[in-house]
Amino acid sequence: MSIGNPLFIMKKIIERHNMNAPKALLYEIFIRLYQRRLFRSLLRPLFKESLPINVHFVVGCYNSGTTVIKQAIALHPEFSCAPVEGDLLTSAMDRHEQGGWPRCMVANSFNIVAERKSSFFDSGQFISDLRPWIDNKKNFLEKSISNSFRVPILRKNFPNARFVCVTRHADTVVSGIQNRSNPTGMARLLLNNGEYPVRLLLRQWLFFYSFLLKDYRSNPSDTYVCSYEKFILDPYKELIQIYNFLNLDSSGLRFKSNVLSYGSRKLEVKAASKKINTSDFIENSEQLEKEIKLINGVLSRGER
Amino acid sequence: MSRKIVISFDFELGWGVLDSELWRIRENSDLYENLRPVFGQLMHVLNETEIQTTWAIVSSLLVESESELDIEHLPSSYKNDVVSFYRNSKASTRCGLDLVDSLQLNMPLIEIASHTSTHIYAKQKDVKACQYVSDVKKSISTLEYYFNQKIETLIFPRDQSDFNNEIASYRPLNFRLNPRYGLNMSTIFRVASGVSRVYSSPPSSRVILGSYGELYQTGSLYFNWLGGKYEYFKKILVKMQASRVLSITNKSSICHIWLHPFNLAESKEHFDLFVTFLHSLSRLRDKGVVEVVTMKDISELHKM
Repeated sequence: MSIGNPLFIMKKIIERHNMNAPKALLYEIFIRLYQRRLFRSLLRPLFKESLPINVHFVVGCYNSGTTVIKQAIALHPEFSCAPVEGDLLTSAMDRHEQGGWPRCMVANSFNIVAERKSSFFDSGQFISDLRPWIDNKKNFLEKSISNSFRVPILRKNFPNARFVCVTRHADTVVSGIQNRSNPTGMARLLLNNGEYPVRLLLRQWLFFYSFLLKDYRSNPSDTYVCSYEKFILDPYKELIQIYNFLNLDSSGLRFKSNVLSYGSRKLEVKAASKKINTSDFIENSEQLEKEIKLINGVLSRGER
Repeated sequence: MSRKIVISFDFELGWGVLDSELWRIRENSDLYENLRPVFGQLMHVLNETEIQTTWAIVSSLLVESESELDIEHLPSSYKNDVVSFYRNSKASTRCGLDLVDSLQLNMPLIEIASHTSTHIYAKQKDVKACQYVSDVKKSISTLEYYFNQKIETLIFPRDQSDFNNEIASYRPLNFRLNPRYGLNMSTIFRVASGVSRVYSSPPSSRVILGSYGELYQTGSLYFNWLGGKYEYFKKILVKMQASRVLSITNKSSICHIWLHPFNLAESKEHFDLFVTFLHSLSRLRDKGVVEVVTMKDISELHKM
């Protein structure tokens, strides 16, 4: 079945929502509508607004494994989360991909830097917009790539928040983005290419992790650096570490035949497609800084 | 963070239209002669108001004799046009040394930028990337030598940015783009877009990061109504838009206004409007409502 085939799309929707076909389809339609501001304002009053026990965040570069790690954490019964990235579902966050730059928000880094400097975040709007997925008896887990630049302001607005910073080596991040996304419109014209140049994506990796390293160093106690490579090698062990960091009971977590489960919640984790060495892990600030210096060296040739 | 206003000038005299009859028509109407006193008045106003501006100079304006012309890199057709223009035009049409001298008096307030060496434009028939880049390189070295300052900004002649990546790989400059860059607009759509400006504000300048670390800044408003069709309508629009630029309340926006110095010599009404605009702008700046900055200043803001 090809990617564009309606049956393939339906299969993916069913898998994504873990529901029967009619329910999954209706839920998908609801999510798509909710991403539009107008429909959001119409649909939002149908749900009661409530505050979660706490909000925790998964941050990291595009294609670094943030989605699978968010899904793994969200297996825990004390968590609720939105089905897609929060910045698609709220007006409180800018996604920073405008201008034809899917998975390449670094092109809009000027706006990102300006947003970071402005230190403004409407947490009330964020909670209000995400109310269909917020449960007042649970922690809320939010994953938006754009949050990687908002750590200081998220700390300020959610003082008890914890961050799981997912790291992955730049080469696999770059090739993954190139396989999955292309520039469109103005971006395509500027790059004079239908594919993102490696140089721009390396710059993006650097941009993300330079911010994340800086923010980690300003308060290491609220951030867990999770190497994607390490997670893939032993998802069970790494997830227990994350649960411990989040002060959650991990006794119900199981891992069998590549499936992580906690109660009725299940997640299949694909095994690594190539051999992973422990030297590949970026699981602390020193290793991250070393990789940043390496990428900086590659990019600094002939540049400002 | 206050609102930013950028003003850039495309300083080219007859070089901007050397391959057409337009320079001759303008020369015969004494436009370039009339520019001299207007230029002096403009410098006086800029000095008095302490408004910072970016001046993109065609570096061949600094040439004093034909033997100094450096044109071997050009495609033969354009080279012939340059020679013909140089031989047949008056000094006031092709040489800007006297104007540059008065520009230098305002130096701390002025960013010198490149507008290429001979105003070669990317869509000129036969021009190759290497020839275009050579023209840019020559202009940068000439301007850096003459003004003793690093050139960090380039304005593409006729806003044609086809060789942006080739130039950026040589030096990651700040580039100005047309606000409609990337939009394939039909005549009807262009007219509709023009009409919409009756009620809408000039677009904010977008700032985009490229692969080599270069920055693209889109323009917002061409401060000129003279030339082409619908002059009367354009005049009303420019007046309305200029007034809106002064009253935009969005603090994070950047507005980029551009024009040619000779536009100001075409009509006294135009010059007076621009001077009034500068005075209003300086008052707003003094109140702390806006900051008037150069294109280089915008790139500095991008740094983390």
